[in-house]
Amino acid sequence: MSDRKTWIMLMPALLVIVAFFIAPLVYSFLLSLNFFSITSNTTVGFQAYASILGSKSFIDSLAFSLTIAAVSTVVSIAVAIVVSMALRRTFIGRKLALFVYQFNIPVPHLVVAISVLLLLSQTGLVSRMLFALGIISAPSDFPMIVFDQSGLGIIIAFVLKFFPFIGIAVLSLLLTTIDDYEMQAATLGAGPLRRFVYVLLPMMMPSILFSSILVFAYAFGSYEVPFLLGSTYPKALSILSYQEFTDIDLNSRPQALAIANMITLVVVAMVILAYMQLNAMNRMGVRKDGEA
Amino acid sequence: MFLYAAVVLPVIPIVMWSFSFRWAYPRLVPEWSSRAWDYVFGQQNIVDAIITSIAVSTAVTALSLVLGYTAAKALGTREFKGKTAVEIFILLPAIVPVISAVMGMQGIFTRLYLTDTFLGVVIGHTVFTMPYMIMGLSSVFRNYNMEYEQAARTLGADRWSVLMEVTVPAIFPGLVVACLFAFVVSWSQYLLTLMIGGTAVETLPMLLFALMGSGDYAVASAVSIVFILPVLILLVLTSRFLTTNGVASGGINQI
Repeated sequence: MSDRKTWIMLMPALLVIVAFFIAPLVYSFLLSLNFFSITSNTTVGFQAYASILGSKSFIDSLAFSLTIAAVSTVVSIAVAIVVSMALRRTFIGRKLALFVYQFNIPVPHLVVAISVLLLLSQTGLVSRMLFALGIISAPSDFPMIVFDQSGLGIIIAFVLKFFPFIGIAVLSLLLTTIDDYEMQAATLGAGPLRRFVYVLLPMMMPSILFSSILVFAYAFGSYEVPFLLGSTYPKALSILSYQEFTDIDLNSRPQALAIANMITLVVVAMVILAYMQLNAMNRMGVRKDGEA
Repeated sequence: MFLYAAVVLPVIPIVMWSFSFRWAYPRLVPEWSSRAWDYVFGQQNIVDAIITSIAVSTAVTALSLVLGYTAAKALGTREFKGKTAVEIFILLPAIVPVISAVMGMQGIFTRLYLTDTFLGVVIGHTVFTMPYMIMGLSSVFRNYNMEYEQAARTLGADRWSVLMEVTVPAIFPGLVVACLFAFVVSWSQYLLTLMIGGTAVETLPMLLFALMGSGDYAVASAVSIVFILPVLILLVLTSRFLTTNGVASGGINQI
């Protein structure tokens, strides 16, 4: 009875997600198989996937998007841990620092990308400052950070957005549950490094893993940031997909959808892996508590 | 300190650009002017985009609150089999990138005559704001005592007055934060609005993209500043909870 009421309460939300999120994902899979072909001379099947997997531009884009997402995530985690550790102790101006720390979390990616462009492009503010100081004598002397092929500008924009997101979650853990455990370890004679490696890091891991998944998936599929800060080649997967979709040649639509579905596949696979990992961690956590 | 540099530095060029008339390389400061700001408040399409954005995001917030409220309450106050699976399922639209679903969505919405309509854009956004709304609200409900509701019911209050006079006041601060988060998520959408709304529904991010494309950085910067105003409101409100209760917004950040 009570269980039935629970499911009734969940129903509106679940229905919306099934109808307007799961259904579009299924629909785009069918479209990628040429299921609802617009032109008559095509057959249903996995041709679109074979075609993209055989194209160099897709493979390059896949590698590019994976690298951008992985590097942004790893750098953001490192920065988040360092900043959060620094903000644990009370000091004058900590309240302001906490406010500043959170600032970038809700700022739209689009605005962060514009900031990075105006700050770090070859004619950006930093380049102008170096020019005024006599360090460089032309915009072309300034290193290509934005629009470069390695995607450095994109990574910088993502890190600016992501490190507070991961960091605030880490900090809230550090300030609440972890503190007591660390104190115990300290009483038992563990030094700062040992405390960090054996107490703090394992306790932060689930939270870091969880936010990293969100951050990685976002960076992997983002459209706005690589659009504004990326080079013409290699393109991020999302941009490649969108371009194929809006191509005048309607025959390239299955390819566009196949690319989008590959993005979905990578992200869903990661969610499943992370879920299994989190479960394993939880079980370990329970066992450790039992021993203690 | 690194933190201040990472957050404050990127703001500087935007503010400077927004007050510039022209800013040729290698000048360190622009030729100051209020041109961009006059343009923002004088140009009908910019004012229209602001109004459209507010209308879309407000409607989206209201719709996701109505559709997500009971689910958030169930997840926050009840234990049941398959709860983790349901939580992950509800989180999916926040994890899976918009580009993954948006083309299929456009296909389905075309068949339902929802493309190029305000309603279509609102429904599309709602799918992606629901996870934030539900997870935000359910973390509020986790610290909520159901007994007050039962007490009110026993004293003869009907469902509606229990909701308005007991539940809503008790969860109000968290409710506001969850709504603002949903609002900001909708407010920032670009690709989804572009694909579902076409040119019929022009929101601020779409205008901002067009301005960046035209290379008018002065006006684009001024519009960017307008664009982050709701974000500032959200920050001030959440930081109030932050100072009163450790890092209380950690709940929101878990999403």
